[in-house]
Amino acid sequence: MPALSVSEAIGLCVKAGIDALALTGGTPPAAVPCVVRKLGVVPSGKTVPEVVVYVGEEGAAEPLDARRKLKKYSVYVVIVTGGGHKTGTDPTIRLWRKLVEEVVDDKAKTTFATLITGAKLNRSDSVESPPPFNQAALAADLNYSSQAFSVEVIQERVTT
Amino acid sequence: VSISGKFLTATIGTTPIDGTHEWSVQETVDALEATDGASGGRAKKDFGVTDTKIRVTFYLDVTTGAYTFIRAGTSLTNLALYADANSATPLYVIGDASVFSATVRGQIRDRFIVDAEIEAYGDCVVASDPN
Repeated sequence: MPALSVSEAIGLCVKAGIDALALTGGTPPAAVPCVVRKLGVVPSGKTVPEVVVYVGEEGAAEPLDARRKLKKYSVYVVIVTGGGHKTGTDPTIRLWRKLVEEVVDDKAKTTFATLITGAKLNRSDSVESPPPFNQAALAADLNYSSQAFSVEVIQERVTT
Repeated sequence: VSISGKFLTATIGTTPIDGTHEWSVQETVDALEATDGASGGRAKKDFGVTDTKIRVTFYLDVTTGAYTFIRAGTSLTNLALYADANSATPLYVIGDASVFSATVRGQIRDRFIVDAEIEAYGDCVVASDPN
C-alpha cells in the first residue's frame, strides 16, 4: 500500500470524526456507517442510511514561506437515506448535517489533530458548493444530502 | 533565469524567521548641496549619511510561532535576507539591526501576520548579488 497522501488522510480524519458521532438511523434503528469513497454515492445493493465522505482534487498551492505551502482540499459529506419519493423534510438529516459541520469545523481541534507527517490543518470551513454528482443520474428512491467543505492544510515543501 | 520570490527567506544568524513571505531593504543617502560657482549652473550633490531601512513580514503560527524576538526596541544580530533559501550567500546581511516598529495583526477570516520595521545600526551592511 502506498504511503498515505494528505487527501486520503483528510478523508480518514473526517470519517473518524463522523464515526465518533455514533449516528443511528433507519428501520429498525441501527448504527449508520460512514465510508470514504471516490464519489459521494452509494453503490447499488448497499444498505442506507449511509454517510459518504468524498475528498475531491486539491486546489492550487500557495507558497507560505521557503519551507511551507498552503493547499486547499474540497471535502464533501453526503448523507444518503431511503424514502427518496417522500416530499416531507427530515429533521434527523438536518440534525446530522449540523453535527457533521461541527466535526469538520473542528473547534475542539480533534478531528484533524493527527493528519499526516508534514501536514497540519490551517483551517476548515463550510462552503457553498453544488453536490459532487449529478442528482438526476442517481436512483430516485434515495435522498442525497450533500455538504461541502474547504479544508486548508499547511504542508512542508519538499526540498532537494 | 527566475525572478520569482517563491523561495525567499530571512534569518537571524542561521535561524530562519518562520513564515517569512516578504522582505525589503531600502538604502537612501542624504544628498548634500555642493553646487558652487565653478559648476556652470549645474547642480553638484555630495553623498551624506546612508540610511538602511529593512522591512520583514512573516506569518505567525498561532500554536508554535514566535514574535517576541522581534519586538520594537530589540536589536538583531546578523539579520540575513535571502532571495532563495538555497543560496549560499544572502543578498543582505545586517550585522546589527534595530527594530523600531513591530506590528502583530490577526483577522478571523485571514491570517496572523507580523510586520517589523528595522534599521541598520552603523556600518554593518553587506550586500551581495544573487547567487
